Amino acid sequence: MTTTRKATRAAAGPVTEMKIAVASGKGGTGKTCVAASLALSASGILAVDLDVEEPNLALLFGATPQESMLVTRPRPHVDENRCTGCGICARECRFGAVNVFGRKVLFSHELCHGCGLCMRLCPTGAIFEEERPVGEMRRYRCDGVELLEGRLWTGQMNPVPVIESTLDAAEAFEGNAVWDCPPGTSCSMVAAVRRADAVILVTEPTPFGAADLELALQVLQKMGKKASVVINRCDLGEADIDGLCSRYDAPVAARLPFSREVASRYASGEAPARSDPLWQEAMKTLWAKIGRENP
Amino acid sequence: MTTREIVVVSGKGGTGKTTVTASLVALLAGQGLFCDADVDAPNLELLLGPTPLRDDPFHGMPVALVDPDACVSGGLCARECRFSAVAMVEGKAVVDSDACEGCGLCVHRCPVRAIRLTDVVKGRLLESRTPYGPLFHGRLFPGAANSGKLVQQIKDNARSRAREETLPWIIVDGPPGIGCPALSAMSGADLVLIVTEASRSAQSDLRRLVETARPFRHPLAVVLNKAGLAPDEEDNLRRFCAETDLPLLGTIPFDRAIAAAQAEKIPPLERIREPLEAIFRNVVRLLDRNPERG
Repeated sequence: MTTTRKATRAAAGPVTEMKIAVASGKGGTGKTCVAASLALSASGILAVDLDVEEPNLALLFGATPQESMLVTRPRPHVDENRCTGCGICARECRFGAVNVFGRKVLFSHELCHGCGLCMRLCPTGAIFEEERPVGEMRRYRCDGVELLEGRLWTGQMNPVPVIESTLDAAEAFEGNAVWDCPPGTSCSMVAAVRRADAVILVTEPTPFGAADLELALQVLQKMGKKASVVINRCDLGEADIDGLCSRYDAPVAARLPFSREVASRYASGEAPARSDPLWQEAMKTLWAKIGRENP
Repeated sequence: MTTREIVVVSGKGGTGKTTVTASLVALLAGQGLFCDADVDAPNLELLLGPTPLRDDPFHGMPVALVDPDACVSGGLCARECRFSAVAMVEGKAVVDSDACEGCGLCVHRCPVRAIRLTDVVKGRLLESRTPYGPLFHGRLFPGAANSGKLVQQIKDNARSRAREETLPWIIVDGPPGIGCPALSAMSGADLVLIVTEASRSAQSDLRRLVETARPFRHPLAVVLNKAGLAPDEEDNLRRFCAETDLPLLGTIPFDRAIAAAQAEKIPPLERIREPLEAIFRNVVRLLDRNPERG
């Protein structure tokens, strides 16, 4: 059964077993539009939403979730019968997540990183861990695209565990996958692109787009990853994206002009490749380039 | 005199956070100081043309460092690290300082005490002069963690300066998202101004941001940017604001000219002076209603 599935998928897509990360540096450049359009322009794709603080990919498919799984992390608790109130846990916690009042130990779970130090150091073994949810993964199916979404629960500080769990779950899928990554260049973006086979950066030719693209290219360079660049709204702004791309040896793979029609359809939740011929053409070109560069 | 702090955030990126912030900066020239708290995509500074005055190293949480001569290659540190930050390379433990969260577990567990915590420079803390007033900003090194801590230090520096110089306004350009840097940026604000657009994506992100911020009792208000692209979605947004008691302080129409103004690197206030002045009047009115906060 598994082999049949794999064979079908391999025949359907222009490339096989590729994990393609779509990232951007600057937010709002059209990353999710490119990810959704790319997924819609080939068959048997797994679309993965790794922008777990603001997961929007499913909105562009108009999909409703079919299944949800919790993402949990270990959090400490105390057995009050065994606690002597010595205070070692509070003294050694580097995150200020443990406080001891008399013989009462209080954990601030929102500050806790789940490192396990307090449990290890407790001289009477009074601290134990329980799994607590920090987010969830949702599974959707829509128009032949399977979608897996990571979703950080509001009030949680750290998106990285949800990104890592979502990527672990995505690994069970055999075939091509498109990952919608978080904006920026900090730890969450790095966690999202780290396991990808190819990276596409979406930018715009404004001074903001150019500055943030350069930061993203620097991160990828540091990680030893190559990127191709999509210039969205290529007629709105004069920044020299081409010069920047050639300095970082990142080919420009597609250019998409601004379209009021695309912007307003996006606002109502439609992926551009559903109706816009320029986007459809650009996505075909992208798949072909990815195939050529990753034989 | 009290200083009032407005933090501009958005949830979703690209809704026009920096455009609104830059316009507030232009309106308040000479009356305040300004922070760029979007430390891994700092864009406000591009509009304000800063002249650097101070450039200090930013230290994140201290991270683990292994003395390779003392390491006896037991591998306990690599096995027990919850963040996969320690790897055994040619028989010696090596720490990935970007993945290390600085918990110190390996320091305690190492049987030969070959590991200690050490300060690592993770970015820069900057202070600049601009034609509008002082700018406090920062730069997180690519791929680094602890952006929440950097945001907090930028804001601490700005607040102590505002106290010294008795400046009435602090305007903060915040990061996107709802995680630690966004929470850090919003903390202690007199007003959290959320810039949104009418798209379904932006509304979903707005809901999550409101859900995140409400437990902290931050006063929240909304500005609708890029108005006119999706009238039905705008109705949904207005309904949501009314139902959740979220003041909608104004709208900025969608306009190609605003993008063009940014391409010339000038604060786009001139293009959108009227709606922005109305928004600012509403901000002041709202703050005057809650004078005791802060």
